[in-house]
Amino acid sequence: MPALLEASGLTKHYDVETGGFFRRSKAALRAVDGVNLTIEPGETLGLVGESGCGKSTLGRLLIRLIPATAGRVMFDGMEITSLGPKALRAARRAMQIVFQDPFGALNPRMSVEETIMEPLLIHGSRRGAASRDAVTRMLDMVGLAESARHRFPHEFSGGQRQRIGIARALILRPKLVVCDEPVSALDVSVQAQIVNLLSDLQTELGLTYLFIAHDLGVVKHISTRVAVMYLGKVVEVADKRSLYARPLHPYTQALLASVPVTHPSQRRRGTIGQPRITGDIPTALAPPSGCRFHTRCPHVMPICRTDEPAMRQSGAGHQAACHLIAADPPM
Amino acid sequence: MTEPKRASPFRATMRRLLHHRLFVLGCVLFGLILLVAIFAPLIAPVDPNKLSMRMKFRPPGADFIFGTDNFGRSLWSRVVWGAQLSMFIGGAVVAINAVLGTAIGAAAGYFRRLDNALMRINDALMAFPAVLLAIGVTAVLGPSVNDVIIALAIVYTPRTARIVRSSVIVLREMEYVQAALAAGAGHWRILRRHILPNAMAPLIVQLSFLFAYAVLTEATLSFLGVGAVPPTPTWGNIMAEGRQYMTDAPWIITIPGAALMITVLGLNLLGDGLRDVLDPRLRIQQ
Amino acid sequence: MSLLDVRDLTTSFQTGGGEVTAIENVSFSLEKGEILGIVGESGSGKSVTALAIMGLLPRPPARVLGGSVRFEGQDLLTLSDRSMQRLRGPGIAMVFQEPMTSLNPVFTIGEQIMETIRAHESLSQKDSFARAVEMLEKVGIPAATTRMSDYPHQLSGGQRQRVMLAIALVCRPRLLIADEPTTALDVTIQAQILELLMDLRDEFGMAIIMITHNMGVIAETADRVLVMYAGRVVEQAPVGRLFDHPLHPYTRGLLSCVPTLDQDQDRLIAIPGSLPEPSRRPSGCRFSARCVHAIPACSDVIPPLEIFEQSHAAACIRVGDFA
Repeated sequence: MPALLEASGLTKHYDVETGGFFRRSKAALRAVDGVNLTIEPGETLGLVGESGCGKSTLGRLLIRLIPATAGRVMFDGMEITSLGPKALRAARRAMQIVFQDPFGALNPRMSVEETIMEPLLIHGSRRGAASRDAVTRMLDMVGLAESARHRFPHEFSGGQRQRIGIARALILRPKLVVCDEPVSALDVSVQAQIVNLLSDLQTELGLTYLFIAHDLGVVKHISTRVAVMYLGKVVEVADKRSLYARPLHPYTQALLASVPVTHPSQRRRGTIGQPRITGDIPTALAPPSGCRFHTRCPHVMPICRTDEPAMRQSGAGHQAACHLIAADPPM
Repeated sequence: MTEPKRASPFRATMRRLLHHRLFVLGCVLFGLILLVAIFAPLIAPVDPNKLSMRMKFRPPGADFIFGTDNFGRSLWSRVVWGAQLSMFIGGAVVAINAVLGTAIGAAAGYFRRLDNALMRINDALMAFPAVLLAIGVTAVLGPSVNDVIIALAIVYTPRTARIVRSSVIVLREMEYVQAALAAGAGHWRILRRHILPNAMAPLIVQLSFLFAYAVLTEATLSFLGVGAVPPTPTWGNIMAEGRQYMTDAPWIITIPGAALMITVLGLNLLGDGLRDVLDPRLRIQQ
Repeated sequence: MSLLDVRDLTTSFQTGGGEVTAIENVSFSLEKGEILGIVGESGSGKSVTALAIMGLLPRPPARVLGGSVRFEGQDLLTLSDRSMQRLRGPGIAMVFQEPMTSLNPVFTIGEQIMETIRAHESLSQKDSFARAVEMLEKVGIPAATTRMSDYPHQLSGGQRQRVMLAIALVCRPRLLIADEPTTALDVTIQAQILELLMDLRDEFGMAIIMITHNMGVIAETADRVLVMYAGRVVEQAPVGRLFDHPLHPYTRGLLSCVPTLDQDQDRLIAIPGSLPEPSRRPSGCRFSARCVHAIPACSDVIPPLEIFEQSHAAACIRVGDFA
């Protein structure tokens, strides 16, 4: 089956002015730098990384919510990076987004019905009984009471607001939904409800997700495959099981080792040999040469400082960009 | 049994406004002047420009509530009709400002490409002291009520545009705007449905203060002799004439002055109340 | 005598809709060198408890309705503002969640650390400088002497949190209250900061109250745990016991609803409903409206916190049925 989405060489640079008043210079902040990624129909691709790694920017680039500096995105057989404004607007039916902040994601002056119905109206439906029925079905689908219809966002809790945002994203029956940290702003006891809801809706509607998050546990739970980003690059992509059981990139290893334990008996204090990493993430304004992780990597070698590692295959569907990896022999 | 109507943001705001005492006081003061202005023909049937030299410099009393001026004109009539003029000028300036300021501010804030050009023109206009700029404009246009309105609109539109622009810049980045974009909404829909309704609060606050500035500046222009030509009964004109007789007939200058003060005070209280309720963050900034 | 002994602490907030209780009858004690974890979600009252101990609740709108906070035998609630100020720093110190706004942007980090020292001790400029550098090294800031003249914006989030720790610890407090100290940080940085906190505890022997919503942080650091829900303590236990035998349905829900790395589930076990707003808390047990085990009696009385075994206490009338 062909991929639902295929990105190649996707790049987003932001111009940033640096320096003082007299000596201005422009620098490029490389938020996303030459990313290749595919999303298969029906899967959930988890996208993890620390703040500032560009995962949220990548999510928006993939559905062209922001224009790319370079590279292209094929979505459902169509190159969306070169679509004109009108064709793009029509194409948006098939790709939607769910946001992190349940407070900022809803217009405070629009009722729940207006909010959920808006995408339909944008795409030519009339504000009639059919549209209202569609809203009713969506309310039911996301687990909100019919009485929520005429209420306003401020009357709802964070979890309920997230349900409204999901209903708005799904009313057009999209193929791909970018979920940008959809549960990280919610209370712990409410997160599971939303994760379960997203899973149920995926089964029911045959959705494909790009699930962006920094919580490795949630990503592990919901994803089919997982991509790990560091400083604007995808450093490892693999099947979920393979990635969590056999992380190849030292950064992925460090991420997994940093997750707090689930039981006090597993405390690692004093244990030696854990690939814990030190130091902070370098700035994307001047990313390190060679492998971008070399400044923090416990296994750094001279070649890492000069040569950027290419993505190498190691096992079925498992790729990582690290000089340590011996690629599978060509078949 | 019917379910009580859900608290829409509008209703909730109205309820809080009515609980704000100073806002209510402001409304009463401003409403008083507004009523006087609307019913001027009923409560002051005497022509404000009717001369009667025999009656000049009558102090306030039974015959003339507010007394008469140096030409024997009824000060009551002049102040009441002056209120009408002030309200008309203030209202017109606010209306023009709301439309132009919103259009320019929204364009500059939403379309980044227009921002620099529009805002530099704005900055240049704002660099002139308001009264000086207004004098300049009336000097070019001529001293009639309509020209004063145009002058004041030119003077104050940049300020309104700036306020609208700064809210639009914030709102443009809100995720619900992103969501509408993702759903395929065009710029016009986003501006009309998502950005402008949420930019209204600071604009309304600004416009209520602007009404006060407009009334005050118009009076200043008339007082300086560059506003509406005498004998048009504006408060500024009345005060300008009364200035020469300040010691002998102080009522000529104090009564329109008091009217002006009540109007401006009312509007400021009203604006403060709106600001407290609609936009609590502004309180800290100002 | 315990280092800190909180008894029946009850506070309220004045809101537009009247007075609302924030925390009710919160009781716990803390020994020297112990790490007490307080877990809770928004509105649980965990931060209010911390601020009440520090005497930093904004009054008004907040008000302490009753109870006592004894620190080394002295009731902090009856202390004057002056004495309380003298105690903050060398006695009790606090670090907050947001390392961005907790530092003053117009002073160098060196000035901010030295200011804290000089507020409590009469040290010379030279000595306090040396003390500050020493402290920065302890919290893991490399090239500490040169970093002293950096401004907060020149530091990353993780480094700012380290500086906050340096400021909190420079007067060697006997008790450190850490309110979500790693919530704003990335997971690799969080691991570093938690490790650092544990090391500093070992070195200085201070007690720590670790406030968090993250059960992982509790599992990683705490000796004993207090679980709070909607302003009340619902369970209290040594950390091992709590993870092995959680008693309260809320604690059990919290432990099972978070997906972890070492298990696979098809569906997460979700706690239904949402957190009650302080003004709309249900009668009786605050969790009853969301509890799958609730019986009618649950909404009649507020269950008291009862000790079961091994200093394990829970506030649930049905605990006997689960144990």
